[in-house]
Amino acid sequence: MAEKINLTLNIWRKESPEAEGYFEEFKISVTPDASILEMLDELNNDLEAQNKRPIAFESDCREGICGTCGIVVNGHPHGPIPKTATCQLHMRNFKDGETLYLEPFRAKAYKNIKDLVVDRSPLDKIIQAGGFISVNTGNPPDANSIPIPKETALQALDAAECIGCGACVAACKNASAMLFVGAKVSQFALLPQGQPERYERVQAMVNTMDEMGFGSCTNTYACEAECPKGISITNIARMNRDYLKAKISSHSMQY
Amino acid sequence: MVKLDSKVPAGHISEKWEKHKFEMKLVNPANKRKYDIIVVGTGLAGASAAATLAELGYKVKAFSFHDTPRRAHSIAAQGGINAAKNYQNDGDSVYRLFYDTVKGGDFRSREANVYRLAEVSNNIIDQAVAQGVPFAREYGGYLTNRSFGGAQVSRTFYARGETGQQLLLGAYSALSRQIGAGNVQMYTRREMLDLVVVDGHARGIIVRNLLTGEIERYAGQAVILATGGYSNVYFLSTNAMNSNVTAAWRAHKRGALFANPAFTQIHPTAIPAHGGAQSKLVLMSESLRNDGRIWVPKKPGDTRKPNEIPEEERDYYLEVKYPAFGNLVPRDVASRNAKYVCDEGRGVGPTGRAVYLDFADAIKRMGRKAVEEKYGNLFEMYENITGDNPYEVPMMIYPAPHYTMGGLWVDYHLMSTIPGLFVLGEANFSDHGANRLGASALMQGLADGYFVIPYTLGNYLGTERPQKVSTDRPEFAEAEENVKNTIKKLLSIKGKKTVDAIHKELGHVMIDKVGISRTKEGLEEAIKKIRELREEFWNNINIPEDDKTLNQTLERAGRIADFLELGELMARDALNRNESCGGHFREEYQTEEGEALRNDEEYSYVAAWEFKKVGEWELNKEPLTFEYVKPSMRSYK
Amino acid sequence: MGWLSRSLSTSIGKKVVMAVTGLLLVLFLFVHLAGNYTIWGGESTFTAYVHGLESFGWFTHVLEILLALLFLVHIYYGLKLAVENSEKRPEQYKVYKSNELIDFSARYTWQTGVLILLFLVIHLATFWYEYKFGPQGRELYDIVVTWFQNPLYSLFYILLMITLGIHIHHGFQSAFQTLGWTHPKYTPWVKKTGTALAWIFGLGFSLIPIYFYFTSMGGN
Repeated sequence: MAEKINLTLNIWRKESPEAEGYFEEFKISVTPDASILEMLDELNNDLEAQNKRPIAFESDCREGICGTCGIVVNGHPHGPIPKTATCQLHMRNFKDGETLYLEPFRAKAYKNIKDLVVDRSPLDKIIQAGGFISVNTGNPPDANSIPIPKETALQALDAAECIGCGACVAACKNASAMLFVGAKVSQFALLPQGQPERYERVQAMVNTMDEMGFGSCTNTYACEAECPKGISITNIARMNRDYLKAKISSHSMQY
Repeated sequence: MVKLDSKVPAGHISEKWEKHKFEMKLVNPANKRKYDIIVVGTGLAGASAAATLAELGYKVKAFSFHDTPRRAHSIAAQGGINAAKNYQNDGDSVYRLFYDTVKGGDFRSREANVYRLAEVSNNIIDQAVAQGVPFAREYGGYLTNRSFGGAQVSRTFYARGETGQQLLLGAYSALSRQIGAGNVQMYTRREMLDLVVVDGHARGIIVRNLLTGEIERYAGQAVILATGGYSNVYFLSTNAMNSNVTAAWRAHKRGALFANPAFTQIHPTAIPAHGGAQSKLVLMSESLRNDGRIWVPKKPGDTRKPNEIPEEERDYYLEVKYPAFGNLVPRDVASRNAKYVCDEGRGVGPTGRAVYLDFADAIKRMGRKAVEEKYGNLFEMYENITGDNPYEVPMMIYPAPHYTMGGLWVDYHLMSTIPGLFVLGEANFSDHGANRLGASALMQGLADGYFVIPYTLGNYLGTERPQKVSTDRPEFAEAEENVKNTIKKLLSIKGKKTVDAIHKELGHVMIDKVGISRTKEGLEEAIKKIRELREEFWNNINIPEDDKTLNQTLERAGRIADFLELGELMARDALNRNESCGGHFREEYQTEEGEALRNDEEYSYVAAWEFKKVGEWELNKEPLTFEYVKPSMRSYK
Repeated sequence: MGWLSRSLSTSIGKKVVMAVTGLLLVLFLFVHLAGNYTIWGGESTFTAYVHGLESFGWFTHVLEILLALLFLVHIYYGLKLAVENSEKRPEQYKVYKSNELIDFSARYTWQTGVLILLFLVIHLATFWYEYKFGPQGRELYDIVVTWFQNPLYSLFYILLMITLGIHIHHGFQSAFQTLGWTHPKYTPWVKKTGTALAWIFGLGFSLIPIYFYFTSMGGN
């Protein structure tokens, strides 16, 4: 096993949604093979053994796909390594003696519940407004009845790979959710199955996104740079295009 | 003793489901809205069930301990989903998928259930495509397939290495649509801690609001559990950190029988443990075995780098031992053989508990670009975790607890021994027997949720016509009291040990004695040790903070408490089953060649355990009969 | 609210307004720069150009009003977005580095915009206002040359033209992104065009004060 490294951690603490937050300093020694969350596991184990309040943070799959984890490490959501979720951020990426700041995803739309835990349910609200194809379970046509060009299917998958972690919001200086929304809008806009609701969907989702208190996109592309799945800002452009088209030509007065 | 009636309908196997769908009672559309249905868990099975039932008109209350339904661990399934579409024209059919699954399950599953699963598999693909799931396609625009362990046809549909994610997001989008429409009331960050049984029927649940600590009561005319498997009993497994058995276990303690707990699957292709602070094991999709070749050095203790070991000094042990299936043998066979070569001292890597999975030949044959297209993101993930580049150095893999075939006993209707309590997906025991084939878990979860429960639930409601019950009833008060007492007790121990420390010790006992291979002595010892650990847990753990806020230690403690009871039952079940089958391998029962030796005379049954009190169960047996696939020695030679 | 005002007040709607007015302002800058360059033809050419513009009569005023509206809308929406966006993260990060991954011009778009607004006011006051409402009979050429012989004014002018270049460097490609006019083949060209425009305007406008500053030194 590789030699341990020593780190100073400054971790955001907040006892309840109403309480004032503050930074608490910890000195820790950790194996470089561990992930940053495993480091926190160990720290928590020590804290619990001393009957001290452990650090609340969220994680689940620990393989970078569920989107539950999300810590801003030294100013980067999911840490400084590109295309890596917090749970996949290994300590071998840090140097002995380094100081780390661990903060929650911060945005008006994300309530800070406790320590590093935030409420990202506004993202669900956006999906509920239109992030689906309205098809009931039953007997849809045979899966091979609509050929879809391989390239199109792959583009749709590129967009659909979004893990819903919400780091795009945390990275954006305006706390905008456009990358998240753009990815979902794009997935369906690219596929033939998504066409019937294409223009209603984009308007419904953008409206809800605004209501939830996210900022607007000023095309800085920090979201793309920080996204653990590398979702492309082309998806935002596609959403903008569809949104404009919908506004100009849709017959619906609803939006 | 409970009388186990599987309720398998009469008729030829290929007609049972179709005929039964007509025979089952219906609930008329206007009446559906009078029924409150509780769905616990929103992974593939739960989300698909909740969405489908809401589409039909039922009033659904869905519960998840996550912050959003999209986090469920179904999302991590990489490789694919099986269906008998026969798009490849390679001889696949519903009957072949049925046959492969029964055989793959080592003749310990219920034929009728498996046939139905194969039958609806095709609908799942159609449904997912209609939802916009971007499966992989050929240049002509049609769906493509890959092959998977345990099958000689290509029937697995996939979306890169993220099939589970894409299917879950499909089900989640259907669920979100119903939440948006107001047909599903979604309760996130709620953990089910007890089942409420009124007059013998499941009528509600008690949950803890994980943010406020409040204990809440919910009533419904039926309760559906889709709460996943229990591999985390091993501490290190491929399951997500929060995956647990609690909802199913609390239902078990209220009278639902737990079937075949010893049938667990150890997945052959996980990234080996690095040791130390490790919190979980990461799986590499089994699809890698399609093109990767598994080998170890021929000579024990060979410390040379893999690329320095010449071809003739490598042992491609699966290809040698099983020429017909080679690296694509079923999971249990692959796992066991990896253990054997490591036990012989031929394991590789720093811990000596790993084997190579080599893509050098695949890269030579298909070109690096094709390999990248097929496995790119898996290779990336591997490099990210281990720091090694699999395009240049062979990957290292080792088996890891992955899936649990056992679960709450259900009949053909997916109803447990408590009327009104249905169990779907990995949480039930039904379709995979003693071993699950690759790419069949996604299939089962969605089959149960989209295409089985909508019919069988209607039959229950149409037959029983249950009335609404009030949460003021004494049964709810009693259950709530029970939950509160457990929490109070956990918080009052104030001992010296952390919850994780006990979990790790339990995991160690489980993997060592109730893991890849088992012995009578080992299992007896495991039972003794688990009991001691349970004793220590209830007297010596410490949970900081109270139950009024988000308290993740308290959440974990409740789950470990249940694992400490389940672990004992797993060992007892393994001890009871004096044979080797599928994922359950008893060293005493093997052929001269070291293959699993089934005992169909005495053990062709489902072992369904009835809870009496902690550490005490009664065994009930559901005999298994095989009319269509005659039990044979599995041979992958 | 009708559909139009509703649409223009959504996050994307506001950005579309910024994009459209921004692109039109880039067009205006071309005209402006071309006009300015008549100065290379000497005093008489420049004055003829200025008088020529005025000879359109009421039409000139209509254009002026439209131009003013264009500016006002761009400024109003820009400030509105800046203020609204600044409220979206009430609790700031202790360490925030996502911004360091992005282009400098993208990081400070509204700040460069505010500087340009400041410049616009001074620019109008020193040239346009003085020409229209200052002492009668003084030609614009004279005003321009006088101001540009002031080294402090010239320096200010040049710095602000560089700021304008930075603003356009981000703004030009940003407008295409907002309007959804992106394509793997053409977007790289759009970005290069934006960079080229930044140089053209930044350097192009700056050449005039530089020229007059040095010629005035020579004159002394």
